[in-house]
Amino acid sequence: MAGSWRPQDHPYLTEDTFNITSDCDPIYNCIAWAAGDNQNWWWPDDMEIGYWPVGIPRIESMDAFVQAY
Amino acid sequence: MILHSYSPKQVLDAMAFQKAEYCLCVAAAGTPPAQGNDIVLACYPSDWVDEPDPMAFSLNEIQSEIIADKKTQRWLKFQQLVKQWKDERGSRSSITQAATLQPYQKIIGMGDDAVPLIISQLRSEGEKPDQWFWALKAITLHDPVKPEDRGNFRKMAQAWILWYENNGW
Repeated sequence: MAGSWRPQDHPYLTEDTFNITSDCDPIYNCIAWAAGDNQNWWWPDDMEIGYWPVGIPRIESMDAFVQAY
Repeated sequence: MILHSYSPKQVLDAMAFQKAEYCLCVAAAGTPPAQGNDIVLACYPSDWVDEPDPMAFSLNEIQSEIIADKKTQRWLKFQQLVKQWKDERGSRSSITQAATLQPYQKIIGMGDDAVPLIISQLRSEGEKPDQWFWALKAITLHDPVKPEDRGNFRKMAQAWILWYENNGW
């Protein structure tokens, strides 16, 4: 698997439209990476599996994501 | 009947390749493959040719039957569901979506039997543990993960493995 995504999920990418900057890593996700965190998987799931900033509602909503950042 | 030893990965690859074809037989009485033991694979070729290696057959020509013990059958079922789940999950970021996919829910549906299999899976994944915590939490109704470690899959995996070693299941 190249990068942190699966090539089959992005069929319109071609070799000249992207660069692989790191290997796939199941330890963190896009949300975490955007926040500068490559050690945790951020997600506001109600089973409390993912990391989510304290005090921010664990709700999958745009508002919760805005507050988290 | 032809008997050969194959690693669990070889057996799974064969199963995945054959898809709907029923084949594969595993006789691993008392040898939990999750611990890395080889599986004895017995294949019955339809034309009963004296083939030295059943894996060399065109897999469509192989007819066989499952003679696995229950522990091995559970492990094979689990591994199939793991593969299906990873394929279906793709690059989803949502833990909720990933955990509510059908293969993952089927793993949870295996109940107590799934716990040692999931722990074994976590161990095998080493420094890159996957998202098995939802299933463990749902099945065991426990959560040994410290609140401050939520989202840190390595620490969460360590906590669950330690919990399993101390408490068994």
